[in-house]
Amino acid sequence: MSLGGGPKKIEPTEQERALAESAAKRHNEHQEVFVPLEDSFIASLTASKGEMEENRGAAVSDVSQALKGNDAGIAAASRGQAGQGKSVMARGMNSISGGTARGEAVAGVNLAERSRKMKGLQKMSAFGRGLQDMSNVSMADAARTASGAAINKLNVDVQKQNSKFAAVGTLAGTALGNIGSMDSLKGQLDNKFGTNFQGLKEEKQ
Amino acid sequence: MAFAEDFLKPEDTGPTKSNLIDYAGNDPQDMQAQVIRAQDRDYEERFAPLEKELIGMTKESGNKQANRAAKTLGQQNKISRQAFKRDLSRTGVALNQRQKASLSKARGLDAARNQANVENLTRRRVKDENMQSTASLIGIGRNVQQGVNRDLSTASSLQAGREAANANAKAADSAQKSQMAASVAGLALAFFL
Repeated sequence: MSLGGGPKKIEPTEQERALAESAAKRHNEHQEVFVPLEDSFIASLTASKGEMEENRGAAVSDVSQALKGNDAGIAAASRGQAGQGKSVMARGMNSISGGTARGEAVAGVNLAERSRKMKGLQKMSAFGRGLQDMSNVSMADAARTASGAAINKLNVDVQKQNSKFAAVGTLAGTALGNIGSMDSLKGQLDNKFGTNFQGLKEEKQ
Repeated sequence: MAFAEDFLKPEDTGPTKSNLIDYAGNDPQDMQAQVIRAQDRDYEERFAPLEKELIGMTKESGNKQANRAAKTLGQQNKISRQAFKRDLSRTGVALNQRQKASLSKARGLDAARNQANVENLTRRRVKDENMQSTASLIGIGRNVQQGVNRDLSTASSLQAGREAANANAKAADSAQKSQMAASVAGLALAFFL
């Protein structure tokens, strides 16, 4: 038997409801505004074919410009003999270096694309785990809230029981402390209502 | 909102409806449970695959990238050789046999040296990046582990607190029942004495 009371579920206050609704709205706003941005960022981690071609073209173009400048310099230094002897060999070596430079530039673009993707994936992995970690914190918060509510309810039950028992105890204490007065009460009852409480007591004695 | 719409391409997809929280009439604990589930779902659907892809990339040896770099170098050397020939032809310059042999030798030596060089550099760079990414992933893993310890510690403390409160409540209940029984008995006794 338990005389403990209290509601089965503790209803949230208006303030708690408002706070929770505000938080839920912000969650939904995040879903609608920022999640698409995240998706867009994730999609751009892998460069498109066009983007790669553009980057490779830019790298090749830069090297080619430098190569042309070198070639023009050699031709100018040859005093009109650009197709002769040392000049033509110098231009040939410039061409060889240019080929290597362009090849390294294109290879560098390919590696840079991989590097960018890996850095982006690192960032997303961290963000993703941050979300997961936040989720864990939220789980802990939820558990804490639930436990706090349960503990508070227990405390309230105990307090209510204590007050009921205290009332009964007070009544009993009062009675025990006033046996003499009880005899007087019984006499009055017998006289007024014709009962025989005094007689019962005398029979027992 | 307008910014996001302007920025995004039409094919970009937004959140699934299941990740939106229904807050009408729900109490805070229900909503929090919904958010927790939505966040878990979000991680599983969008971020876990990226994590797996990154882990897969960190295991690449770099050979594929090195071979690709060497091939690119060969293609660009060929383009360069052809461009040089066209340039000479356009300006009416003809190389003699000695010049041709000398340039051909230089080109061959350069190609071999640079091909080996670009392959080695590419492997080294891939390895460096793999190590950096692996280190980053290890850091993320350590943070995850710390989070696990923190959450388990919290859960254990909460459970211990609830059990203690329950034990106290039971003890109080028992004591008060005994006291009440004694009091009622005493009251009855007083009445009939």
